[in-house]
Amino acid sequence: MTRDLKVVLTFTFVCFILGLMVAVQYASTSLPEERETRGLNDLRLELKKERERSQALLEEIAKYNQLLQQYERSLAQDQDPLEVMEKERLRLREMIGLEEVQGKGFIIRIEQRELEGKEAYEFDPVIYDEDLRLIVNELNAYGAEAIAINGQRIIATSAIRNVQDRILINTIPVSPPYEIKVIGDPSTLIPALKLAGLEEYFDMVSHHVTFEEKALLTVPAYSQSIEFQFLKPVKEDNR
Amino acid sequence: MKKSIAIKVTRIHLLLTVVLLCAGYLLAYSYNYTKELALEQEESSKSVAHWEAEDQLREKLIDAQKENVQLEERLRELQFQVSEKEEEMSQMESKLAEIYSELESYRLLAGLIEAKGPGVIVTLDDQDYADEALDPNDYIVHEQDVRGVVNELFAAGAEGVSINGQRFVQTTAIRCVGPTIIVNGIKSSAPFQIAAVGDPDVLYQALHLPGGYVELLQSWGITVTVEKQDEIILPAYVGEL
Repeated sequence: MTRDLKVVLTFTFVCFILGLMVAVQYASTSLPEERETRGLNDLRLELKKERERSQALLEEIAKYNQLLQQYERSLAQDQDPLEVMEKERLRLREMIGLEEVQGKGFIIRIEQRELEGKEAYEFDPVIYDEDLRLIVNELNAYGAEAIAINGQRIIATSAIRNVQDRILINTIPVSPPYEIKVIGDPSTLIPALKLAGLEEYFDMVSHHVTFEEKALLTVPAYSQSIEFQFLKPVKEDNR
Repeated sequence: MKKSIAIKVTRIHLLLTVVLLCAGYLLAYSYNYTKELALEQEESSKSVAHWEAEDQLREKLIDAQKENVQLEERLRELQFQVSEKEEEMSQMESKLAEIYSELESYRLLAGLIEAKGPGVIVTLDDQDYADEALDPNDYIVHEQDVRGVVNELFAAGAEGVSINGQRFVQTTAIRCVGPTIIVNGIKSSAPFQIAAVGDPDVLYQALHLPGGYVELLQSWGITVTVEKQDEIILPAYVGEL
């Protein structure tokens, strides 16, 4: 009788300990560890971007402040209002591509290669609109100041588009060979284009790409009219 | 008579054996586990410094963002004031009025002021699921797709475009890095929203032409939606053109 009781007690005790252990084990393993995984580098980059933006904002603010002061002076008859407005008008025209630009730059020429004997084309030897868009995009990415393709100045709303077998730029047909005039620093832009594989890419479609640096290059102005029917500035009273 | 050394094995012995075995196993496991935990804790205490640095950075970032929001507001105020002054001046003589309207359209084209108008919003999204056999490149949105759509919209007479809240200006480059797209130096990921101000019907039609962009992108497995809108606000671009 007593021996039986002893066994039962021992057994109960052991089982109790066991249960306790299992419970503790369960509780400690089921604690989820949540931690943010966004790296320090991402944060640093974002902060850098934000600071660049604030720099740009301050510069813009300074420009508008100056303009505002000039307007106020002109309204107080110290300056000719026409002169002040004309100056701002020219500044904007130069900025958006409505004026001819002169400066340091280079010319990219894309010409079809002569076929050597019976060399078969690996790819269709045709340049498409996207090929030209790609070049404009790369140039913009590396800070080109002005771009014109076969005399067509690229502005914010320019379209480069295939219609049948012709490319239209600013709705004007352009035909090969393509000559792209760029105002900007050749020592950064040309290596960037080469690094992007421009030469190899056009070689595949049987075209040569050549670069010619120019100490003084003239890029023509956008020649069509600009009219907005739908886009309106957001003003204080219509916000 | 020889003594028998055989121990009588009872049911209790068996049970105890099993239970104690389990207990022993659990003990060992627990011991190991807590050792690992201690190690982890040691490591995480090492990363406390890292975590603090991250925290500081995050705070700096939030401060910078707040400051920029204020600066943007100030710039907008100034832009309003400038255009008010121009309006005031344009009432002085007709020549000035002419220049004033030109200035307005130049600023709209430059993308340096906030602008609005009717138009369309085009949304491009990667395909939800992909067949194992396919090249993953075939069903994600590429930079040339976004460029192509923007180009098509301008060809159809769009007067202004923004991509994921970034105004498309003369110097805008659209680049892809893996699944993210970088516009004006700002990263964002799919879905890509391209907002274009112009005649909504014309823009819609242009994208839906037979053999047009919507068809083309859908054939590559990209999800495309085009919605006409009565009013779209395009944010201003800040920076040098």
